[in-house]
Amino acid sequence: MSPGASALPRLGVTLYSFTRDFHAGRATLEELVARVAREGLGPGLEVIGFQSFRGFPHMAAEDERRFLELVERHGLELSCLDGNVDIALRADRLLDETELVEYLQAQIDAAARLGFPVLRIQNQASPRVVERLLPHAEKRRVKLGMEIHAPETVRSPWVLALRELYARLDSPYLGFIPDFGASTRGISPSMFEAFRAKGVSDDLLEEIARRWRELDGKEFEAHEEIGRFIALAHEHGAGDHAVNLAVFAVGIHGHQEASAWSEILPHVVHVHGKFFDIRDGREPVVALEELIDVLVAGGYRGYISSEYEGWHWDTESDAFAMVARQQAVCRAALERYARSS
Amino acid sequence: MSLASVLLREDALREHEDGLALSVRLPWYRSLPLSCVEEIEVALDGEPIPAENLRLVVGGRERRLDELQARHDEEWFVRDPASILVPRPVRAGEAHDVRVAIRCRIPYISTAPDTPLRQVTERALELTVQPAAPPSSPTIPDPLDGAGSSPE
Repeated sequence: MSPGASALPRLGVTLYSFTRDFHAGRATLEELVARVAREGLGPGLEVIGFQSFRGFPHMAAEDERRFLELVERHGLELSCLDGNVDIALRADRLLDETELVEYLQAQIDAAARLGFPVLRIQNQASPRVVERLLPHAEKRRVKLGMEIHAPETVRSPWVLALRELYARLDSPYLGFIPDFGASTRGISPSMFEAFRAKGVSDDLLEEIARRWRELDGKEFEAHEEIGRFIALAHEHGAGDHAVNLAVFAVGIHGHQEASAWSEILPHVVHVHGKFFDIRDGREPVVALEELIDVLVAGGYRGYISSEYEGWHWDTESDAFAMVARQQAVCRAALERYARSS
Repeated sequence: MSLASVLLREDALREHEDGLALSVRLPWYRSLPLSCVEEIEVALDGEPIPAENLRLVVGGRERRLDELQARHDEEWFVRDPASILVPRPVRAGEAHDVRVAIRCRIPYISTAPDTPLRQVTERALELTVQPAAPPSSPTIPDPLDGAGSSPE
Protein backbone atom coordinates (compact mmCIF):
# COMPACT_ATOMS: atom_id res chain seq x y z
CA MET A 1 0.00 0.00 0.00
CA SER A 2 1.04 3.60 -0.39
CA PRO A 3 2.98 5.53 2.24
CA GLY A 4 0.72 6.72 5.01
CA ALA A 5 -1.61 3.77 4.53
CA SER A 6 -1.05 2.75 8.13
CA ALA A 7 -3.00 5.81 9.16
CA LEU A 8 -6.02 4.60 7.20
CA PRO A 9 -8.66 1.97 7.90
CA ARG A 10 -7.57 -1.61 7.30
CA LEU A 11 -9.39 -4.10 5.15
CA GLY A 12 -10.58 -7.54 6.10
CA VAL A 13 -13.44 -9.93 5.60
CA THR A 14 -16.14 -11.69 7.54
CA LEU A 15 -16.48 -15.42 6.94
CA TYR A 16 -20.23 -14.81 6.64
CA SER A 17 -19.39 -13.84 3.04
CA PHE A 18 -18.62 -17.51 2.39
CA THR A 19 -21.71 -18.92 4.07
CA ARG A 20 -22.77 -20.85 0.99
CA ASP A 21 -19.45 -22.72 0.74
CA PHE A 22 -19.31 -23.45 4.47
CA HIS A 23 -22.93 -24.49 4.85
CA ALA A 24 -22.82 -26.80 1.85
CA GLY A 25 -19.72 -28.51 3.21
CA ARG A 26 -17.56 -27.40 0.27
CA ALA A 27 -15.05 -25.78 2.64
CA THR A 28 -14.10 -26.25 6.26
CA LEU A 29 -13.34 -23.36 8.60
CA GLU A 30 -9.67 -24.18 8.14
CA GLU A 31 -9.99 -24.01 4.37
CA LEU A 32 -11.91 -20.72 4.48
CA VAL A 33 -9.25 -19.09 6.66
CA ALA A 34 -6.43 -20.43 4.50
CA ARG A 35 -8.06 -19.14 1.34
CA VAL A 36 -8.74 -15.71 2.87
CA ALA A 37 -5.02 -15.45 3.59
CA ARG A 38 -3.87 -16.91 0.25
CA GLU A 39 -6.06 -14.53 -1.75
CA GLY A 40 -5.02 -11.52 0.33
CA LEU A 41 -8.50 -10.74 1.67
CA GLY A 42 -7.26 -9.84 5.16
CA PRO A 43 -5.67 -8.87 7.34
CA GLY A 44 -8.89 -8.47 9.35
CA LEU A 45 -10.77 -11.68 10.09
CA GLU A 46 -14.32 -11.60 11.44
CA VAL A 47 -16.37 -14.65 12.32
CA ILE A 48 -19.87 -15.37 13.56
CA GLY A 49 -19.54 -17.35 16.77
CA PHE A 50 -22.66 -19.45 16.25
CA GLN A 51 -21.65 -20.20 12.66
CA SER A 52 -17.97 -21.07 12.90
CA PHE A 53 -17.64 -22.70 16.31
CA ARG A 54 -19.31 -25.84 17.55
CA GLY A 55 -20.68 -25.26 21.04
CA PHE A 56 -20.25 -21.46 20.94
CA PRO A 57 -19.73 -19.67 23.28
CA HIS A 58 -18.54 -22.69 25.27
CA MET A 59 -16.15 -24.17 22.74
CA ALA A 60 -13.81 -27.05 23.47
CA ALA A 61 -10.40 -25.75 24.55
CA GLU A 62 -8.78 -27.82 21.80
CA ASP A 63 -10.97 -26.19 19.13
CA GLU A 64 -10.01 -22.75 20.42
CA ARG A 65 -6.33 -23.63 20.39
CA ARG A 66 -6.52 -24.93 16.83
CA PHE A 67 -8.41 -21.86 15.65
CA LEU A 68 -5.84 -19.50 17.14
CA GLU A 69 -3.01 -21.54 15.63
CA LEU A 70 -4.74 -21.33 12.27
CA VAL A 71 -5.08 -17.54 12.45
CA GLU A 72 -1.48 -17.18 13.58
CA ARG A 73 -0.16 -19.48 10.87
CA HIS A 74 -1.89 -17.46 8.17
CA GLY A 75 -0.90 -14.07 9.56
CA LEU A 76 -4.42 -12.77 9.97
CA GLU A 77 -5.73 -10.37 12.62
CA LEU A 78 -8.91 -11.03 14.57
CA SER A 79 -11.14 -8.03 13.97
CA CYS A 80 -14.58 -8.83 15.35
CA LEU A 81 -16.49 -11.74 16.81
CA ASP A 82 -20.15 -11.59 15.87
CA GLY A 83 -22.34 -12.41 18.83
CA ASN A 84 -26.08 -12.94 18.68
CA VAL A 85 -28.63 -11.51 21.07
CA ASP A 86 -30.95 -14.52 21.18
CA ILE A 87 -33.73 -13.00 23.24
CA ALA A 88 -36.22 -15.59 21.88
CA LEU A 89 -33.99 -18.53 22.74
CA ARG A 90 -36.69 -20.24 24.77
CA ALA A 91 -39.92 -21.53 23.28
CA ASP A 92 -42.08 -20.46 26.22
CA ARG A 93 -41.04 -16.83 26.77
CA LEU A 94 -38.46 -14.17 25.97
CA LEU A 95 -35.31 -14.05 28.09
CA ASP A 96 -35.48 -11.47 30.84
CA GLU A 97 -32.88 -8.76 31.24
CA THR A 98 -30.70 -10.71 33.67
CA GLU A 99 -30.76 -13.86 31.52
CA LEU A 100 -29.83 -11.85 28.46
CA VAL A 101 -26.93 -10.19 30.30
CA GLU A 102 -25.61 -13.60 31.35
CA TYR A 103 -26.11 -15.01 27.85
CA LEU A 104 -24.01 -12.17 26.41
CA GLN A 105 -21.37 -12.21 29.14
CA ALA A 106 -20.50 -15.73 27.99
CA GLN A 107 -20.00 -14.37 24.47
CA ILE A 108 -17.80 -11.54 25.79
CA ASP A 109 -15.74 -14.22 27.55
CA ALA A 110 -15.40 -16.20 24.31
CA ALA A 111 -14.20 -13.05 22.48
CA ALA A 112 -11.70 -12.37 25.27
CA ARG A 113 -10.33 -15.93 25.29
CA LEU A 114 -9.76 -15.85 21.54
CA GLY A 115 -8.44 -12.28 21.48
CA PHE A 116 -11.15 -10.58 19.45
CA PRO A 117 -11.12 -6.84 20.29
CA VAL A 118 -14.82 -6.38 19.50
CA LEU A 119 -18.01 -8.36 20.08
CA ARG A 120 -20.82 -7.50 17.67
CA ILE A 121 -24.15 -7.18 19.46
CA GLN A 122 -27.64 -6.56 18.08
CA ASN A 123 -30.55 -4.30 18.87
CA GLN A 124 -32.42 -6.91 20.91
CA ALA A 125 -30.03 -5.76 23.64
CA SER A 126 -31.76 -2.78 25.22
CA PRO A 127 -29.76 0.20 26.50
CA ARG A 128 -30.28 -1.23 29.98
CA VAL A 129 -28.73 -4.56 28.94
CA VAL A 130 -25.82 -2.77 27.30
CA GLU A 131 -25.25 -0.72 30.44
CA ARG A 132 -25.26 -3.84 32.59
CA LEU A 133 -22.80 -5.56 30.22
CA LEU A 134 -20.30 -2.71 30.27
CA PRO A 135 -18.42 -3.62 33.49
CA HIS A 136 -17.86 -7.14 32.16
CA ALA A 137 -16.74 -5.85 28.76
CA GLU A 138 -14.31 -3.45 30.42
CA LYS A 139 -12.94 -6.17 32.67
CA ARG A 140 -12.40 -8.51 29.73
CA ARG A 141 -11.22 -5.65 27.46
CA VAL A 142 -13.72 -6.47 24.72
CA LYS A 143 -15.54 -3.58 23.03
CA LEU A 144 -19.26 -3.94 22.50
CA GLY A 145 -20.20 -3.05 18.94
CA MET A 146 -23.92 -2.49 18.39
CA GLU A 147 -24.65 -3.18 14.74
CA ILE A 148 -26.69 -0.61 12.83
CA HIS A 149 -28.14 -2.59 9.97
CA ALA A 150 -30.69 -1.70 7.30
CA PRO A 151 -33.37 -0.43 7.54
CA GLU A 152 -32.21 1.19 10.79
CA THR A 153 -30.18 4.39 10.77
CA VAL A 154 -28.08 6.51 13.13
CA ARG A 155 -31.32 8.32 13.98
CA SER A 156 -33.56 5.33 14.69
CA PRO A 157 -35.12 5.89 18.11
CA TRP A 158 -33.29 2.94 19.70
CA VAL A 159 -29.99 4.18 18.26
CA LEU A 160 -30.63 7.66 19.64
CA ALA A 161 -31.27 6.10 23.05
CA LEU A 162 -27.94 4.28 22.86
CA ARG A 163 -26.15 7.43 21.73
CA GLU A 164 -27.43 9.10 24.89
CA LEU A 165 -26.28 6.17 26.98
CA TYR A 166 -22.84 6.21 25.34
CA ALA A 167 -22.54 9.96 25.97
CA ARG A 168 -23.45 9.45 29.61
CA LEU A 169 -21.19 6.46 30.30
CA ASP A 170 -18.30 7.71 28.14
CA SER A 171 -16.46 4.38 27.83
CA PRO A 172 -14.22 3.28 24.95
CA TYR A 173 -15.79 -0.16 25.35
CA LEU A 174 -19.16 1.04 24.01
CA GLY A 175 -19.42 1.36 20.27
CA PHE A 176 -21.33 0.97 17.03
CA ILE A 177 -20.81 -1.15 13.93
CA PRO A 178 -22.21 0.57 10.83
CA ASP A 179 -23.32 -1.81 8.11
CA PHE A 180 -22.87 -0.31 4.64
CA GLY A 181 -26.15 -1.95 3.65
CA ALA A 182 -27.93 0.73 5.70
CA SER A 183 -26.78 3.28 3.08
CA THR A 184 -27.79 2.03 -0.35
CA ARG A 185 -28.92 3.95 -3.42
CA GLY A 186 -31.37 1.33 -4.58
CA ILE A 187 -32.06 -2.37 -4.60
CA SER A 188 -29.25 -4.43 -6.06
CA PRO A 189 -29.84 -5.16 -9.75
CA SER A 190 -28.43 -8.65 -9.18
CA MET A 191 -31.34 -9.33 -6.83
CA PHE A 192 -33.89 -8.24 -9.40
CA GLU A 193 -32.19 -10.37 -12.05
CA ALA A 194 -32.29 -13.45 -9.82
CA PHE A 195 -35.99 -13.07 -9.00
CA ARG A 196 -36.82 -12.32 -12.62
CA ALA A 197 -35.09 -15.56 -13.61
CA LYS A 198 -37.30 -17.36 -11.09
CA GLY A 199 -40.39 -16.06 -12.82
CA VAL A 200 -41.24 -13.00 -10.73
CA SER A 201 -42.93 -10.46 -13.00
CA ASP A 202 -41.28 -7.25 -14.17
CA ASP A 203 -44.40 -5.38 -13.03
CA LEU A 204 -43.86 -6.47 -9.45
CA LEU A 205 -40.12 -5.79 -9.51
CA GLU A 206 -40.72 -2.29 -10.88
CA GLU A 207 -43.37 -1.67 -8.23
CA ILE A 208 -40.98 -2.85 -5.51
CA ALA A 209 -38.29 -0.50 -6.81
CA ARG A 210 -40.80 2.37 -6.86
CA ARG A 211 -42.14 1.66 -3.37
CA TRP A 212 -38.57 1.35 -2.07
CA ARG A 213 -37.73 4.82 -3.43
CA GLU A 214 -40.85 6.20 -1.74
CA LEU A 215 -39.42 5.20 1.63
CA ASP A 216 -36.47 7.50 1.09
CA GLY A 217 -36.09 9.87 4.01
CA LYS A 218 -39.09 8.42 5.84
CA GLU A 219 -39.25 7.03 9.35
CA PHE A 220 -40.87 3.61 9.37
CA GLU A 221 -41.09 0.43 11.40
CA ALA A 222 -39.21 -2.32 9.58
CA HIS A 223 -41.70 -5.08 10.29
CA GLU A 224 -44.67 -2.98 9.17
CA GLU A 225 -43.00 -2.06 5.92
CA ILE A 226 -41.86 -5.65 5.30
CA GLY A 227 -45.48 -6.69 5.87
CA ARG A 228 -46.64 -4.21 3.23
CA PHE A 229 -44.08 -5.49 0.74
CA ILE A 230 -45.12 -9.09 1.40
CA ALA A 231 -48.75 -8.14 0.73
CA LEU A 232 -47.74 -6.35 -2.45
CA ALA A 233 -45.78 -9.36 -3.65
CA HIS A 234 -48.69 -11.69 -2.94
CA GLU A 235 -51.06 -9.38 -4.86
CA HIS A 236 -48.75 -9.84 -7.83
CA GLY A 237 -48.69 -13.62 -7.44
CA ALA A 238 -45.10 -13.92 -6.17
CA GLY A 239 -46.12 -16.90 -4.04
CA ASP A 240 -43.17 -18.52 -2.30
CA HIS A 241 -40.90 -15.62 -3.25
CA ALA A 242 -43.00 -12.97 -1.46
CA VAL A 243 -41.30 -13.13 1.93
CA ASN A 244 -37.75 -13.21 0.57
CA LEU A 245 -38.49 -10.35 -1.82
CA ALA A 246 -39.81 -8.21 1.03
CA VAL A 247 -37.10 -9.09 3.53
CA PHE A 248 -34.32 -8.53 1.01
CA ALA A 249 -35.81 -5.29 -0.35
CA VAL A 250 -36.57 -3.60 2.97
CA GLY A 251 -34.37 -5.49 5.41
CA ILE A 252 -30.96 -5.34 3.75
CA HIS A 253 -31.23 -2.26 1.51
CA GLY A 254 -31.31 0.87 3.69
CA HIS A 255 -31.93 4.52 2.88
CA GLN A 256 -29.60 6.36 5.22
CA GLU A 257 -27.30 8.92 3.61
CA ALA A 258 -23.64 7.92 3.75
CA SER A 259 -22.72 11.24 5.38
CA ALA A 260 -24.98 10.54 8.38
CA TRP A 261 -22.48 7.98 9.72
CA SER A 262 -20.30 10.94 10.70
CA GLU A 263 -22.71 11.61 13.59
CA ILE A 264 -21.56 8.47 15.41
CA LEU A 265 -18.02 8.05 14.07
CA PRO A 266 -16.22 8.67 17.36
CA HIS A 267 -18.04 5.58 18.65
CA VAL A 268 -17.50 3.33 15.62
CA VAL A 269 -15.44 0.29 16.64
CA HIS A 270 -15.78 -1.82 13.49
CA VAL A 271 -17.42 -1.57 10.05
CA HIS A 272 -19.35 -4.10 8.01
CA GLY A 273 -18.48 -3.41 4.38
CA LYS A 274 -21.74 -4.91 3.13
CA PHE A 275 -22.09 -5.36 -0.63
CA PHE A 276 -24.15 -7.40 -3.04
CA ASP A 277 -22.31 -7.39 -6.33
CA ILE A 278 -19.41 -5.81 -8.17
CA ARG A 279 -19.76 -5.19 -11.88
CA ASP A 280 -17.65 -3.02 -14.15
CA GLY A 281 -15.45 -2.21 -11.18
CA ARG A 282 -18.17 -0.80 -8.98
CA GLU A 283 -20.86 -1.84 -6.51
CA PRO A 284 -24.08 -0.76 -8.26
CA VAL A 285 -25.96 0.36 -5.13
CA VAL A 286 -23.43 0.73 -2.28
CA ALA A 287 -21.43 3.96 -2.62
CA LEU A 288 -18.16 2.46 -1.41
CA GLU A 289 -15.97 5.46 -2.23
CA GLU A 290 -18.30 7.92 -0.57
CA LEU A 291 -18.70 5.72 2.53
CA ILE A 292 -14.95 5.33 2.84
CA ASP A 293 -14.47 9.08 2.52
CA VAL A 294 -16.94 9.63 5.37
CA LEU A 295 -15.09 7.11 7.55
CA VAL A 296 -11.62 8.44 6.81
CA ALA A 297 -12.59 12.08 7.11
CA GLY A 298 -14.15 11.32 10.48
CA GLY A 299 -10.95 9.72 11.76
CA TYR A 300 -11.99 6.06 11.62
CA ARG A 301 -8.92 3.81 11.60
CA GLY A 302 -10.39 0.38 12.36
CA TYR A 303 -11.27 -2.46 10.01
CA ILE A 304 -13.63 -2.37 7.05
CA SER A 305 -14.79 -5.96 6.96
CA SER A 306 -16.07 -7.03 3.56
CA GLU A 307 -19.47 -8.66 3.92
CA TYR A 308 -20.76 -10.22 0.72
CA GLU A 309 -24.51 -10.75 0.93
CA GLY A 310 -25.36 -11.39 -2.71
CA TRP A 311 -25.09 -15.11 -2.02
CA HIS A 312 -28.72 -15.15 -0.92
CA TRP A 313 -29.82 -14.92 -4.53
CA ASP A 314 -26.62 -15.40 -6.54
CA THR A 315 -25.91 -19.09 -6.21
CA GLU A 316 -23.29 -19.19 -8.97
CA SER A 317 -20.67 -16.52 -8.30
CA ASP A 318 -17.49 -17.28 -6.41
CA ALA A 319 -17.80 -15.36 -3.14
CA PHE A 320 -14.01 -15.11 -2.80
CA ALA A 321 -13.70 -13.47 -6.22
CA MET A 322 -16.54 -11.10 -5.29
CA VAL A 323 -14.77 -10.05 -2.09
CA ALA A 324 -11.49 -9.56 -3.98
CA ARG A 325 -13.24 -7.27 -6.47
CA GLN A 326 -14.93 -5.28 -3.69
CA GLN A 327 -11.67 -4.89 -1.82
CA ALA A 328 -9.97 -3.63 -4.98
CA VAL A 329 -12.55 -0.82 -5.08
CA CYS A 330 -12.06 -0.09 -1.36
CA ARG A 331 -8.28 -0.18 -1.66
CA ALA A 332 -8.31 2.24 -4.59
CA ALA A 333 -10.53 4.60 -2.59
CA LEU A 334 -8.18 4.45 0.40
CA GLU A 335 -5.10 5.00 -1.72
CA ARG A 336 -6.68 7.92 -3.51
CA TYR A 337 -7.47 9.37 -0.14
CA ALA A 338 -3.90 8.78 1.08
CA ARG A 339 -2.48 10.61 -1.95
CA SER A 340 -4.82 13.57 -1.67
CA SER A 341 -4.37 14.10 2.06
CA MET B 1 -33.18 -18.90 -2.84
CA SER B 2 -31.30 -18.63 0.43
CA LEU B 3 -30.43 -22.01 1.92
CA ALA B 4 -33.56 -24.01 1.01
CA SER B 5 -31.64 -26.08 -1.52
CA VAL B 6 -29.60 -27.75 1.20
CA LEU B 7 -32.61 -28.67 3.33
CA LEU B 8 -33.11 -31.84 1.34
CA ARG B 9 -30.68 -33.34 -1.12
CA GLU B 10 -31.08 -35.88 -3.88
CA ASP B 11 -29.73 -38.68 -1.67
CA ALA B 12 -31.70 -37.68 1.45
CA LEU B 13 -34.10 -40.63 1.56
CA ARG B 14 -32.82 -43.88 3.06
CA GLU B 15 -34.10 -47.18 4.34
CA HIS B 16 -34.20 -47.33 8.13
CA GLU B 17 -35.06 -50.08 10.58
CA ASP B 18 -38.01 -47.99 11.85
CA GLY B 19 -39.29 -47.13 8.37
CA LEU B 20 -37.48 -44.42 6.44
CA ALA B 21 -34.98 -41.73 7.29
CA LEU B 22 -34.70 -38.31 5.68
CA SER B 23 -31.40 -36.51 5.99
CA VAL B 24 -32.00 -32.79 6.47
CA ARG B 25 -29.87 -29.73 7.12
CA LEU B 26 -30.63 -26.70 9.24
CA PRO B 27 -31.92 -24.13 6.73
CA TRP B 28 -30.25 -21.17 8.44
CA TYR B 29 -26.72 -19.80 8.25
CA ARG B 30 -25.84 -20.29 11.92
CA SER B 31 -26.48 -22.93 14.56
CA LEU B 32 -29.75 -22.68 16.45
CA PRO B 33 -30.86 -24.28 19.69
CA LEU B 34 -33.26 -27.19 19.27
CA SER B 35 -35.91 -25.07 21.01
CA CYS B 36 -36.02 -22.93 17.87
CA VAL B 37 -37.16 -25.84 15.69
CA GLU B 38 -40.88 -25.20 16.06
CA GLU B 39 -42.47 -27.42 13.48
CA ILE B 40 -41.52 -30.10 11.00
CA GLU B 41 -43.92 -31.31 8.32
CA VAL B 42 -43.31 -34.34 6.16
CA ALA B 43 -45.47 -35.64 3.35
CA LEU B 44 -44.78 -38.88 1.51
CA ASP B 45 -46.37 -39.31 -1.91
CA GLY B 46 -48.78 -36.52 -1.06
CA GLU B 47 -49.83 -37.96 2.28
CA PRO B 48 -48.96 -35.86 5.36
CA ILE B 49 -47.36 -37.85 8.18
CA PRO B 50 -48.77 -36.97 11.62
CA ALA B 51 -46.18 -34.99 13.58
CA GLU B 52 -46.47 -37.29 16.60
CA ASN B 53 -45.12 -40.12 14.44
CA LEU B 54 -41.97 -38.23 13.45
CA ARG B 55 -38.65 -38.38 15.29
CA LEU B 56 -35.69 -36.03 14.86
CA VAL B 57 -32.16 -37.31 15.34
CA VAL B 58 -29.62 -34.57 16.02
CA GLY B 59 -26.13 -35.28 17.30
CA GLY B 60 -27.00 -38.96 17.60
CA ARG B 61 -29.97 -38.39 19.96
CA GLU B 62 -33.47 -39.29 18.87
CA ARG B 63 -36.41 -37.14 20.03
CA ARG B 64 -40.10 -36.63 19.47
CA LEU B 65 -40.81 -33.21 17.97
CA ASP B 66 -42.66 -32.06 21.10
CA GLU B 67 -39.49 -32.68 23.10
CA LEU B 68 -37.51 -30.12 21.12
CA GLN B 69 -39.04 -26.96 22.51
CA ALA B 70 -37.60 -27.49 25.99
CA ARG B 71 -34.06 -27.97 24.65
CA HIS B 72 -32.83 -24.39 24.50
CA ASP B 73 -29.52 -25.53 25.96
CA GLU B 74 -28.71 -27.88 23.07
CA GLU B 75 -27.60 -26.74 19.64
CA TRP B 76 -28.22 -28.01 16.15
CA PHE B 77 -24.79 -27.23 14.81
CA VAL B 78 -25.07 -25.58 11.42
CA ARG B 79 -22.86 -28.14 9.68
CA ASP B 80 -24.48 -31.26 11.11
CA PRO B 81 -27.09 -33.17 9.13
CA ALA B 82 -30.05 -34.39 11.14
CA SER B 83 -32.38 -37.27 10.34
CA ILE B 84 -36.14 -37.27 10.39
CA LEU B 85 -37.40 -40.80 11.07
CA VAL B 86 -40.75 -41.69 9.52
CA PRO B 87 -42.56 -44.98 10.29
CA ARG B 88 -43.19 -45.85 6.64
CA PRO B 89 -41.30 -48.80 5.24
CA VAL B 90 -39.53 -48.16 1.95
CA ARG B 91 -37.11 -50.19 -0.13
CA ALA B 92 -33.90 -49.10 -1.78
CA GLY B 93 -34.41 -48.13 -5.39
CA GLU B 94 -38.03 -47.01 -5.04
CA ALA B 95 -38.94 -43.45 -5.99
CA HIS B 96 -41.13 -41.35 -3.71
CA ASP B 97 -42.38 -37.77 -3.70
CA VAL B 98 -41.12 -36.19 -0.50
CA ARG B 99 -42.04 -32.81 0.90
CA VAL B 100 -40.36 -31.41 3.99
CA ALA B 101 -41.10 -28.08 5.66
CA ILE B 102 -39.28 -26.81 8.73
CA ARG B 103 -40.36 -23.77 10.72
CA CYS B 104 -37.60 -22.17 12.77
CA ARG B 105 -37.87 -19.35 15.25
CA ILE B 106 -35.02 -16.92 14.61
CA PRO B 107 -34.21 -15.88 18.17
CA TYR B 108 -32.50 -12.54 17.49
CA ILE B 109 -34.80 -11.07 14.79
CA SER B 110 -38.22 -9.58 15.51
CA THR B 111 -41.05 -9.07 13.09
CA ALA B 112 -43.00 -6.97 15.61
CA PRO B 113 -42.35 -5.96 19.21
CA ASP B 114 -41.76 -9.15 21.22
CA THR B 115 -42.53 -11.30 18.18
CA PRO B 116 -39.62 -13.30 16.82
CA LEU B 117 -39.23 -14.01 13.12
CA ARG B 118 -40.50 -17.43 12.11
CA GLN B 119 -38.93 -18.77 8.97
CA VAL B 120 -40.52 -21.60 7.03
CA THR B 121 -38.29 -23.45 4.61
CA GLU B 122 -39.88 -26.00 2.35
CA ARG B 123 -38.62 -28.35 -0.27
CA ALA B 124 -40.36 -31.00 -2.34
CA LEU B 125 -38.48 -33.51 -4.48
CA GLU B 126 -38.87 -36.92 -6.01
CA LEU B 127 -36.25 -39.01 -4.28
CA THR B 128 -34.88 -42.48 -4.85
CA VAL B 129 -34.52 -44.57 -1.70
CA GLN B 130 -30.90 -45.24 -0.75
CA PRO B 131 -29.80 -48.33 1.18
CA ALA B 132 -29.78 -47.94 4.96
CA ALA B 133 -26.79 -45.93 6.09
CA PRO B 134 -24.26 -47.54 8.38
CA PRO B 135 -25.06 -46.49 11.93
CA SER B 136 -21.79 -44.58 12.32
CA SER B 137 -20.99 -41.02 11.14
CA PRO B 138 -24.20 -39.24 12.11
CA THR B 139 -22.41 -35.93 11.60
CA ILE B 140 -19.91 -34.50 9.22
CA PRO B 141 -16.68 -33.79 11.07
CA ASP B 142 -15.96 -30.59 12.88
CA PRO B 143 -15.26 -27.60 10.68
CA LEU B 144 -11.69 -27.56 11.92
CA ASP B 145 -11.03 -30.96 10.42
CA GLY B 146 -9.37 -31.20 7.07
CA ALA B 147 -10.66 -31.60 3.55
CA GLY B 148 -12.23 -34.70 2.12
CA SER B 149 -14.85 -34.83 4.81
CA SER B 150 -17.56 -32.90 3.06
CA PRO B 151 -20.82 -34.59 2.13
CA GLU B 152 -20.62 -33.50 -1.49
